[in-house]
Amino acid sequence: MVETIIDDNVIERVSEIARLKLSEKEKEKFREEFERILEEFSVVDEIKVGEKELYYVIENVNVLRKDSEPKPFNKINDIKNNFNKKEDGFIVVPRNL
Amino acid sequence: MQLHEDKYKDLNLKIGLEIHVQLKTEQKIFCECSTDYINSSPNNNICPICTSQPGSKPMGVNEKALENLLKIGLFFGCKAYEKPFYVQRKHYFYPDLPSNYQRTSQPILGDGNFMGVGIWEIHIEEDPGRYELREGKVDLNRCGVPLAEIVTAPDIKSPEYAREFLRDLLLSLEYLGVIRGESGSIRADVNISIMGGNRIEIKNVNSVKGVYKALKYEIVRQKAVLQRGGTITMETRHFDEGSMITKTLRKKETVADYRYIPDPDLVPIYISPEKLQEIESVLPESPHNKKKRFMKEYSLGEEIVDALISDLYLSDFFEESAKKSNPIESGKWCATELKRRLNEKNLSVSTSKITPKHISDMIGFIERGELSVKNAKWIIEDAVDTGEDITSLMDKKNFYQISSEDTLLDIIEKVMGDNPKAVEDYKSGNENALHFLFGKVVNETEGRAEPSKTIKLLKDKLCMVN
Repeated sequence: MVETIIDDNVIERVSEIARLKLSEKEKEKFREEFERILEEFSVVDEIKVGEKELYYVIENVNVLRKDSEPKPFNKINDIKNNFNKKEDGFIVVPRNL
Repeated sequence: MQLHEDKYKDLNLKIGLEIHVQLKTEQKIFCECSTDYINSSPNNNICPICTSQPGSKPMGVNEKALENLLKIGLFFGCKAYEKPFYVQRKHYFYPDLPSNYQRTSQPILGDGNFMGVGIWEIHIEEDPGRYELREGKVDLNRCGVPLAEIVTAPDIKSPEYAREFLRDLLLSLEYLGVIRGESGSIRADVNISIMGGNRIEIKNVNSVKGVYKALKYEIVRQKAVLQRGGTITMETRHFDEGSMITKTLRKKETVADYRYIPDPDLVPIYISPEKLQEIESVLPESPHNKKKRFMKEYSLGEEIVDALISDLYLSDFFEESAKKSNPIESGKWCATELKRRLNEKNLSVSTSKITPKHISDMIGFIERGELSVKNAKWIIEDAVDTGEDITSLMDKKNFYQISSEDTLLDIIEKVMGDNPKAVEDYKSGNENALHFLFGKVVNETEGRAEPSKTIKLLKDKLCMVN
């Protein structure tokens, strides 16, 4: 089992990267959840994989496709309906300057 | 020696670039949407894959994008890695990237060289969408356009050379036909260190001019910090295109924060030697081979050849003009005056109006003693700008050199009559007086007096006064 300390610094850093502002209460909640997640995943460490780095279990390589005429997707509006806020076709998000 | 290298010698300046160029394809890298993100209304060339709708999976990598990337690498003399490479997920949260990770491959080729600058590695990745920071507007049309990232060694020693390097690199890629036409504006991350100080990274510079300006600014800023007794700490800065200055980026992600993992939706890719051979067989002559050939075939000096091959359009142009004129002369004019004028006008021979015939005709006029070297420079400028043929430019500008002895003697006599003191000075042994009088003749003829003949006649005439 891996010893991982989910302390305040880790929570701070993760929320920063995720661009989320967390309350003290939420921080505590995430701390507990993170620890539980890591605990669950520690099971993976028990698998014997040997020395070789193993990223893919299938041996298939080179799945490539030929470039050709673009095929427009015919339900673009279904995607656009998922945008929270729209203006002149753009998605509107918070400004950053 | 690189352009203006001397100016920065004391600074021990080291510049490295990470250059992003869009690879030319019809479809995006992982889906069948069009890559034309410019001529289409916002959020119109999108699908569940490139906008990362829940449950969507990428299609196999667009083969053409990969082939174009291989062309770039092999052209710069890179070697492909023998091990298969895989596509990774680089995680970060930003509005231009709906999946919250960018797919970016491991290095595919490396260890190349272009214009004396090492190419460390080249890999493929997907472009994110466009995010207008000020307005808070996002257009995802660009999401998934294939990109090549070219990482150079810190071999560049002046901002001027960085500019020249980028300009010529872009021209070469355009010549190879592997990048999107409108992507002339490159995106680069610029790394710079001075006096052995820490490396500063400037992110997202969007033009060749921007790279030059950002570097100039950073040199001044870092010098000032050091002069005040401060230290340069490693940091990432943002370049503001409007004010042309760099600013500290407050939030900084480290490699660990990106949580790179191999994308489980895509299988590894192996580049076989046969594939490399196939690509190599359709590549134009490499700059390295061209250099060797030009030096041998045309007996040109290394400096001239370097200038010619840094722009492949120019090297073709030179070869064409050398068919009908003295190659040494043609090489010299193409590598110096022509290149200077093109740079000044931000043009290439492919976009300007000048043709190889202009150069060969011009050399003919010089060799026949009808055009002075000084005026030939003006002819080149006009030919670049207007494309008018040399004979009519000669007429229009009245550039025909005066080599008739009678005409020259008339002018010399007039100049001597107007400047009796200089004539006296020469007689009493002042050599400078000869140059003065020669200058007067040149002025009198608007630069058209044939120099060697004028000097000879002037000397004879002055001796006769004795």
